[in-house]
Amino acid sequence: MQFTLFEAVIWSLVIVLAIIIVILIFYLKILRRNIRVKEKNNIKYREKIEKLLIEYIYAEEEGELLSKKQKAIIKQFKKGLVSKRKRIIITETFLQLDQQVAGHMIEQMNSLYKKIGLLNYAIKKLRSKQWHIVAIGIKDLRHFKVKRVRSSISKLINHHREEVRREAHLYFIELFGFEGLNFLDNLKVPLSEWDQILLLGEVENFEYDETLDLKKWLESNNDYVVLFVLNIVKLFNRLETKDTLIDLLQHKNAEIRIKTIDIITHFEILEAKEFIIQRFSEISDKEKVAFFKYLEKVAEIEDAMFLIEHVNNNNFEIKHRALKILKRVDVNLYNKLEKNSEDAEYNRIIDYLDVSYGV
Amino acid sequence: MSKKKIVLAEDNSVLSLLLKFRLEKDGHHLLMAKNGKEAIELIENENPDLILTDIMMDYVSGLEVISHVRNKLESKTPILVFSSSGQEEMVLKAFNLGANDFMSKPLSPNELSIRVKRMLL
Repeated sequence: MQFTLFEAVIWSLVIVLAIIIVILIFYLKILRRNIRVKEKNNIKYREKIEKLLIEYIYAEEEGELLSKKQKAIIKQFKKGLVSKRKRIIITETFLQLDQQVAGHMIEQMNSLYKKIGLLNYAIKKLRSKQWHIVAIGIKDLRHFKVKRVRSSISKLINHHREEVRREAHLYFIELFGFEGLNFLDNLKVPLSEWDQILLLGEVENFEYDETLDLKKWLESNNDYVVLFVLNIVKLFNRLETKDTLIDLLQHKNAEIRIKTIDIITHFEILEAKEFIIQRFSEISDKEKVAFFKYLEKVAEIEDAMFLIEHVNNNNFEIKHRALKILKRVDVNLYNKLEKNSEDAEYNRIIDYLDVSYGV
Repeated sequence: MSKKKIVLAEDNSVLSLLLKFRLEKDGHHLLMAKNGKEAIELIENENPDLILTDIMMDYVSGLEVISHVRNKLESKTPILVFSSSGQEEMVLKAFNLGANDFMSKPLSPNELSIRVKRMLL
């Protein structure tokens, strides 16, 4: 049987492809086997490390710096650190327990972390050229409360990757409390909303510190710092910042102005009322709405004429709040208002306030 | 005196090992569950004297474990729940379902040991 050239090429290709497929099948089989073996070894090593860690914690003997058993366990940990895979497992195991237990055990774990040399590996990570390694390094140092690397981490607060910055900021707040907030002095980059939520979550746990000077951060050139500190002012009711808050009503950033009105509303600062009324025509609609929310809390009968000016405002929310506040502060004047208008929204609000409101 | 049987349902393997070590030192017999499903199986088969359970677990949560013990098995076995910060509402639900006590994480194993002793009286 003789093949044409074309048929010969096709058959050769089929044979070559079949060989490649067979090789690939074997390769995948070996690969899968290796992954399974590796996973099995990891589980086995993890179990060993967990057991060693618990044994170390309970092997403490009164009056002795380190018991014989503890010294032997440290040796075993150190042996594992040479391998990167084992080092990762050891760190993960430490972190897994670090968040779950309290008191003396945490101190024991932190000291073990340093004794076995994991601390040096974490410090080395800070010098890595890969940003994610740097972030992991800071996270490890934060979890194990290593304060002596403060100056190295302070250089990372303006890192170009937000993941690294976030870890650096959390490091300062978690380890140094209110004092850690001083990193805000040198912050040149944005603080995202998520970052602010994370940081506020930590700040909430702080003991109240009256001596903390928030004013300097309310005057920061970094708008994100101002916004973040406004949240702290509200959280800890720092009313002594009142004058700075009134100054912030003229800030160039609209978001800060709105947030400031929100804080002023929270504190019910009366001095801000006249200040905003005088500038009312210049401020944005969002600020106007925020101001009417403030008036809901602080308006009095002498504000009735200002409210009358806005009962026909084009903005529904302003119109609604103006009528509602007017009814509260000066019901006689409110009753004298025309109850029927060409503006359907106005009629609906009046109807709501007169008939349904409060029912 | 026979050892008291305690079911410990906790998905953090290191923590559960640590608590097991501590409570076994106190002379208890620990039955370990990695999730709520395993905990329910152990409770049904072993009829423990005390149940310690985390609130958040895979497959079946701690709340479901409590509900199963109190409503389906109609058992009065004391239950202590572990919660993390931010799970206050879950703790209230746990009490409504019939939990007897709670401890928030991070845990103090010594405090747990005292509470366990008190609950087993």
